[in-house]
Amino acid sequence: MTEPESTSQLPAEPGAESQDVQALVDALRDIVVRQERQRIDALEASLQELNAEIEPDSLAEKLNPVMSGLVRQTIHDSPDEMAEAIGPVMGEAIRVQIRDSRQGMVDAIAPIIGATVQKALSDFAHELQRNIDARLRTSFQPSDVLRNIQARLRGISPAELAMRDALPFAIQELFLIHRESGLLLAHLHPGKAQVSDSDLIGGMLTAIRDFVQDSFGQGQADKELDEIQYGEQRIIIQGGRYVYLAAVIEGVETPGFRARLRDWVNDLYVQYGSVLRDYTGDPASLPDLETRLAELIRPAELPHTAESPSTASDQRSPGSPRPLTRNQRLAIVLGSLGGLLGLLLCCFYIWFTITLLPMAWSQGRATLTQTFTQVPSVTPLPTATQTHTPTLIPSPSLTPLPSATPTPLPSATFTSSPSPLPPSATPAPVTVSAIAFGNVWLRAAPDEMAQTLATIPQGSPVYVRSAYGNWLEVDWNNDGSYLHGWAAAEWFFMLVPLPSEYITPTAVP
Amino acid sequence: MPVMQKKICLLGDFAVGKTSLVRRFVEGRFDDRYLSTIGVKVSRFSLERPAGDLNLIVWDLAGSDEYGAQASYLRGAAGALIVCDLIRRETLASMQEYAARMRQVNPDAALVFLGNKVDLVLDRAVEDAEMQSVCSALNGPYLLCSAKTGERVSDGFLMLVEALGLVP
Repeated sequence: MTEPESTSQLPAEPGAESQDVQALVDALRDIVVRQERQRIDALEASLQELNAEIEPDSLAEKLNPVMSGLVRQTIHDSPDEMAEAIGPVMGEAIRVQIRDSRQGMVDAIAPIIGATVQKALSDFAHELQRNIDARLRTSFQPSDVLRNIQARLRGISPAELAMRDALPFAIQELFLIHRESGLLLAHLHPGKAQVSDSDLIGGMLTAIRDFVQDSFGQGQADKELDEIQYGEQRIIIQGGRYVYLAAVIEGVETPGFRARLRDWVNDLYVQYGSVLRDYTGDPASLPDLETRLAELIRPAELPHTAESPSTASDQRSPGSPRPLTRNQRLAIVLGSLGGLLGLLLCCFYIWFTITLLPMAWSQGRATLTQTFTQVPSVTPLPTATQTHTPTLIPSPSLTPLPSATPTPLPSATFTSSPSPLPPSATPAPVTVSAIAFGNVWLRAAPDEMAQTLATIPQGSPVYVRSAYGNWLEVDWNNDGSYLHGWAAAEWFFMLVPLPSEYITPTAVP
Repeated sequence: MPVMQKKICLLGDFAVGKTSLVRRFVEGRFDDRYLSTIGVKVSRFSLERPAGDLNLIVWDLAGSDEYGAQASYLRGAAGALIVCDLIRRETLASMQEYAARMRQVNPDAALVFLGNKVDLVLDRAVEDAEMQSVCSALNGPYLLCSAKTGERVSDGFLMLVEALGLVP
């Protein structure tokens, strides 16, 4: 309440006084704030300059040389740390780039990948070519026949089987490991100049086997890990009673390779079973297992970059055919015995034939000789004479027929003819002979329904007078007496071709 | 000269320091991740002796029931180092179980007991007398060591070599 009163006591000079006060305040403020304002102005100017410099383009322009130098220096000083730092970023960047621009990445790395793949394929093709060439250079062997049969049984061609066999196969390492403790008993590494920690590998391999068996085998002792594959290499594991064998191989294993491992392990058990059972880590108690192990590696199964193993048993050159397996050897022996038996049978057949031939020929030749000597006396044979005598032929229709007329005669002609010979068989007996290679009916006429006169035994020589269709007109010497008749031509072997004039063609089959 | 080999196992509860114990003194090529993968990692402790070199193939078994109980890993072991943590009292009791498992699989196995982390004096929960009592009951020598400082770790391996009947 006091202040309003004091205010009311100065009503005459309120404006001038307040103006003075205001001016005084302004002057005072100007004095106090001037320096601050100047500083603020300076700061604002500096800020504007900085803002101008922080523009992305100009900032990059300024930082580029600095950053480049910094990165270069860091890479030079500590490349490992730098790689470790940017590795994840690089990996992620590559993943993003592949995701966003797959084709671009493909185009970028295609030259590198293409050259790499091309080189790998070239090496593989060269190796395959070398193996095939080595096989082709080998001479023929009995095993080739077996392999051909084997290929056929498998439904593939021998060439495919040969190509399959020519695929590179090499044993990189062999580990013989004590089954219970996992201690390494022997190790062979033809594929590498230096191998370290093979005993640790043996232990870990045993641990892995135990782990797999405990985890997946459900405690069944008969189920064991027998193969591990990683990339192009595989570990073939052959278990035994006290030891197991692990073979690190590359390529396609040859046929019988596992059987070879199994046999080897079994043989080892047979020979050194008690030693292996009682093994406690003392190498002095063991035989020379590495030499035994070397027996498993054949020259063709050596790695191509490897030096020859220190074995005395490897004398063959690389690429030479592999020794035969037991089954192959057995098959060869059986095949040889079969071939020998067949050869003996052939010899016996030839001998038998040669032995019997003089008997057959002696009879035939005698007959033939007799034939020639009796030819003059045969001429007046009544049969031949009758055939040439028209008067003896009661059938007038047959009389005018010339003797060599190829006119087919009806079968009724023979049945109605009183003569056993058809009129067309008029030629005189000829010296043409044949031999029966079967027992043949001698019939009175060239007809299957005709009367059977006799049976000409197999191997008997006959005189062929003429031919009519599938029938031969023959004279057969039956123990000194000649029988004349017709026999089926298919059972005779003609020693001399029958002249065509003695053949009567037949229109009727 | 041929090298004698012995398989030994390293047993103990999880985090008692088994892997740390052997890390300094063994040679190996396998990563510790194998422990968590298949429950075992194999290393080698080599010892040169006048009678001939000796390789202890050390099977470091994961300290959990999931893996450590696998009897197959214990088969063929000539001996074992059984480790307890001196600042965790319960690991002392577990030593008895591991010793029983080991002797069940390998009755003639030599056992050596190690008390690890002896350097943590203030946190120690197992006294010497307790350790001696338990190990005497299990019929095996014991040793206090520190994987952190390396104190007497190699002595533990040498003690096991001696227990195996081999002159170090």
